Amino acid sequence: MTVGKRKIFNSFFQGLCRSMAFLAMAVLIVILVKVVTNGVGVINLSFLFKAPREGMTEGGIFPAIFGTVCITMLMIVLAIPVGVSAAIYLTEYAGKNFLGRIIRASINNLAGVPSIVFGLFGVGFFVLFIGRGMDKILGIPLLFGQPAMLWAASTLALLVLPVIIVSTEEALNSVSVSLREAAFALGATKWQVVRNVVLPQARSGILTGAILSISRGAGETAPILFTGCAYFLPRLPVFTIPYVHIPVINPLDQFMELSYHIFIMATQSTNVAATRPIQYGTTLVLIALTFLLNLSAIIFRIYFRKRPR
Amino acid sequence: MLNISLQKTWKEFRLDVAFEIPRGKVTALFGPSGAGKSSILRIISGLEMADRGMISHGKEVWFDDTKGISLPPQQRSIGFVFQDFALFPHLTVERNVAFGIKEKRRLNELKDLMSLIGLSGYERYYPAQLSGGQKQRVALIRALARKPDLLLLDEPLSALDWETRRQLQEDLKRITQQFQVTTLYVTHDITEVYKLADYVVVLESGRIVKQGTPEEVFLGKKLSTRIQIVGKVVSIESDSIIAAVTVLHDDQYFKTLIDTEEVDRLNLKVGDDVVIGAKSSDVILFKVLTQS
Amino acid sequence: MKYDLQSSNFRAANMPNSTSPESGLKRFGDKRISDLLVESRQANVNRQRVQEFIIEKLLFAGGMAAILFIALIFIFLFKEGAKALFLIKPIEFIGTHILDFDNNRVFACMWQPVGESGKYSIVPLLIGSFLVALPATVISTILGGGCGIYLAEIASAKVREIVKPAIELLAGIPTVVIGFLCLTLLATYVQNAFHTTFRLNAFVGAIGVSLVIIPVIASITDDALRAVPNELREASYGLGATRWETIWKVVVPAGISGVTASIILGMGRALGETMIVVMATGNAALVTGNIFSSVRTMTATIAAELGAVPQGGPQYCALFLVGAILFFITFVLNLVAEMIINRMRKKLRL
Repeated sequence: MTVGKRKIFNSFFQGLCRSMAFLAMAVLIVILVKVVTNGVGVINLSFLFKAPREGMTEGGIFPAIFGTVCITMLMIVLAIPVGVSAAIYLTEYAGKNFLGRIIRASINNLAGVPSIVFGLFGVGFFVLFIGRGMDKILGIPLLFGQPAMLWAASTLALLVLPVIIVSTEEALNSVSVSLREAAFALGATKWQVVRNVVLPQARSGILTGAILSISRGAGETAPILFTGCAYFLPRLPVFTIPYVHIPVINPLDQFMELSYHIFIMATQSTNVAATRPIQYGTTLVLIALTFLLNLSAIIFRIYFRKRPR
Repeated sequence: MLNISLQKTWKEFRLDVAFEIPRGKVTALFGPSGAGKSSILRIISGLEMADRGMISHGKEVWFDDTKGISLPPQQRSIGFVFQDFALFPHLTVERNVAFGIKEKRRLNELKDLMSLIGLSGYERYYPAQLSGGQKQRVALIRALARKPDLLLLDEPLSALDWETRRQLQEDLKRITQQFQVTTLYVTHDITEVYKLADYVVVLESGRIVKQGTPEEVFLGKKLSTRIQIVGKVVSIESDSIIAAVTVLHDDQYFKTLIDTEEVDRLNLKVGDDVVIGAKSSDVILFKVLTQS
Repeated sequence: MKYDLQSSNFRAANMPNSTSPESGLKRFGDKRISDLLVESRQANVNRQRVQEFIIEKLLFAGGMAAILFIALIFIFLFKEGAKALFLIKPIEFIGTHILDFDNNRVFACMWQPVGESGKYSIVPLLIGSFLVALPATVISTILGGGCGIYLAEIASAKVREIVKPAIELLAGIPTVVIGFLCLTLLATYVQNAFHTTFRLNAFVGAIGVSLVIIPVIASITDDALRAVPNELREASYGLGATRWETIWKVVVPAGISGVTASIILGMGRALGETMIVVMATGNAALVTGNIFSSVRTMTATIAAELGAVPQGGPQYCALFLVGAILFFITFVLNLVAEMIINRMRKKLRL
C-alpha cells in the first residue's frame, strides 16, 4: 500500500468512526426535538394536575404521574436495602470465594433477564404464589392475590437490583484498602469499618446507582403490564386512614403509570389519531423525568470522580 | 515485652523471624525494601496472618497457630501509623483522632492530644487541607489516642519531603518518649535508626541478620565518642596517603580526613552510610552571634 | 469500674516542667489502668461479637437474595411452562396439520392460540424474534462499535466528556418512548422510502431496538479498548503504523473478546426487548424471511396476550413456555458473554 493510500485510509476510517458517534448523538437530539416540539403544546398546569376525561381523549395525566412517582418510590424502598447489603456482603465479606462467585454470576444473569420475563415472573410468583398464598393463609377473599402496586414495585425492584448492586460494589471498591486497614488497626470491628469508613465515602456512588435505577424503573413498562398497571382508574391509589383522616398510598391498589399510559394510548385507545397530542405530551413528561434523573446521576458521577481523595 | 516468632511463605518469598521487642523502648526494624519489614508489621497487627508462629504480649497471646489463636486486629492493643497517612478523608481531624477512642468519657482528652502535636485550632479541618507533615502528625496521635500497648510505625516519614522529615523526627522522638509506649519502627533510613531507636533488628530477605543497639549493629563496637553524626558519603578525594571524605548529614556537609589505607580497608564508596565520631577533646564551640 | 481516666493525664504530660520520661512510664506502666483497659476490652468484645455475627448474617441474606431470585425465576417459568407440555402435544409447538384451501392436509407452523383448536407453533415467534434481533445487532455492531472505537481511541478528552454522557442518555430513554416514535414517525419514513406493504414491520422494529443496544455495545467496546495496555499502541506507532492501522490491527484485535462479549450481550438485549417490538413490528405471526414483513416476536406475544388470558389454561401455560425459552436463550447468551469477559480479564492481568 502506498503512503498516500495509507493516509487516505487513516483519515477515512477515523472520520467514519467519528461520524458514527455523531450519528448516535444526532439520533438523541432528533428524538428530543421531535418529542419536545410535538408535546410542548399540550403541556400546561391542568395537563399535569388533572385527571383524564371523556374516555381519556381529553384532560390531564395527573394519575399517571402520581402512580409513576409512587411505584418508583416503593420500588427503591424495596430494592435499596437488599441491593446495598448484597453489595456490602460481596465486597467486604465474601471476597472472591466460591459463594461470592456464584452470587456475582447470579447478579450478572439477573441483569440480562428480559424485562418481559420479569413481568411473567411477577405474575407467577408475586401475584399468584405470594399474593394468593397470603389470601389463603389469612382465609380472606381476594385481597393480595391480584395485580397491585406492591407487586409491580416488587417486580421492578427485582429488575433494578443488579443496577444497585453493581454500582454500590463499584463505589465500595473505590474506597482504598489502606483506609480500611487503618481503621482495623485502630481497633474497629468489620462492621464498624464498613459503617464508619467505607459507607460514608461510598455514599455518592450508592446514590448515583439509586438515581439510575429510579430512572430505569420509571421508564420500564413490560414488568408492570400484568402486575398492577391499570388502563384507567377513576381515583388515585390512595387510602384514608379512618378517624385521623390521613391519606396514604395504598400499595394494594392498582395504579396508572406514564409509560403504560403512552403504550395504551398509542396502540389501544379508542381514537389513536385524535389523542396524539396527549401521547406526545405524556412522552415529553416521561422523557423529562428520566432525563433529569439520568443527567443528575451523570453529573454526580463526574463531580465525585474529580473530587480529590 | 513482645515476643514474636513468625513464618510465612508467599509465592517466591519466605519470612522466618523471631525476636523480642523490649517494653517502653523504640525498636527499629531496618532493612532494604522487599526484606519483609512491612509484612511483619501487618502480621503483628493482625491485618495478615502468619502460616506458623506465635505472637504474645506479656501474658496475652495474640497469635498461636498451634492453639489456633488469632485475635482480630481490634482485640490487639495496637496503634498503627501508615506510610501514606491513611487518614479518613470524610472525617475532620478531630474525628479522625477520636476514631480509635472507644470510651466516650475520654473524648475530652482530644484537646490535649491536639496541642501535643501542635495542631490546636485545626480540629475542624479535613485531612485534604493539611500539609504532609501535619497529616502524619495526626496519624501518629490517632494511633496513640487509644493508648495502645504497642505502636507500629511503617516508614512513617518516607512520604514526606526532607525538611518536614527532619522536623517530624524530633516530634516523633518527643512524643514516643512522652507516652513511653513500646514502639516498633520500620525504616530503611539509617539516620532515623540512630536518631530514634534504642534497639535495632536488621532484616534481609525475610531473615534477621543482626540485632542489638544501633551502635553494636552498625559499628560492631561501642563508641565512646561525644558527637556522632550519621550521614552519606558524597565524595572521596584521595591521594596516596590521605583521603578527604565529605559526608552529608541533613543539609550539612562535614569534611574529614582519614588514611587512604582506611578507605581501602573499609571499602568506602560514595553513597555509603557512615558515622562521624568526635572525641570531646578536640571539639571547638562558638556562640552564634545573633543580630539585635 | 470507677476509675476515671482524667484528661489531666495528657495535660500533665504536656506541661514542660513535668515532662520527665519516668512520670510518663509510671502512668502508662500503671497496672491498674492497663488491667482495667483489658477488662473493659473483654466485655466489649463479647457484645461486639454477637453484633458482628448478626450483621454479617443480614448482609449474607442480601447476597443470597440474588441467588434466590434467579433460582425462583427459573423455577416459576419452567414450572408453568412445563404444564404447557401436558396440556398441549409437544409436536404442536412446532406445527400442526391443517386443511389448506384445497382441503389438503398440510403441516403448518402457526401461532393462533384462540379457541378449542388453538395453534401453538412457536416457530413464527422464533423467526420473528430473530428477524428483529439479527438486523438490530448488525446495525448496532457497526454503529456502536464505531462509537466505542471513537470514544476509546480517537476522541479527545474534552469531546469524550460530552459524547459519552450523550450515549448514556440515549441508553436512558425509556423503550416505550422509542417504540412510540417508531410507531408514529419512523414507520412512516420507512414506508415512504421503501414502499413496503406493511407499515409496521421487522425492519422498523430492528432500527428501534438498535437504538437501545448501540449504547450497550458502545460502552463495553469503549471499556474493552481502553483496557488494552498503552505499550501496544506505542509499539505500533513506533513501527510506523498510522493511527487507524494501530486501531484496526493492534488495539481492536487485543480487545476483541470484550467487543465480542458486547455484541453477544447486545444480541441478548435485542431478543429480550419488548415495548419497541410490540409497538413497531405489526404483531402478525408470519413464517417469513422478509425483513419488511410484519412479524411477531416472543416478547411481543407475551406482552400482548398474557393480560387477556385465563390463568392456568393452555394459552397461559404456553406463554410461560415461550417466556422460559426466551429466558433460556438470553441466559445462554449472557453466560457466553460472561465467560468471554472473564477470560479477557485473566488474560489482561497476566
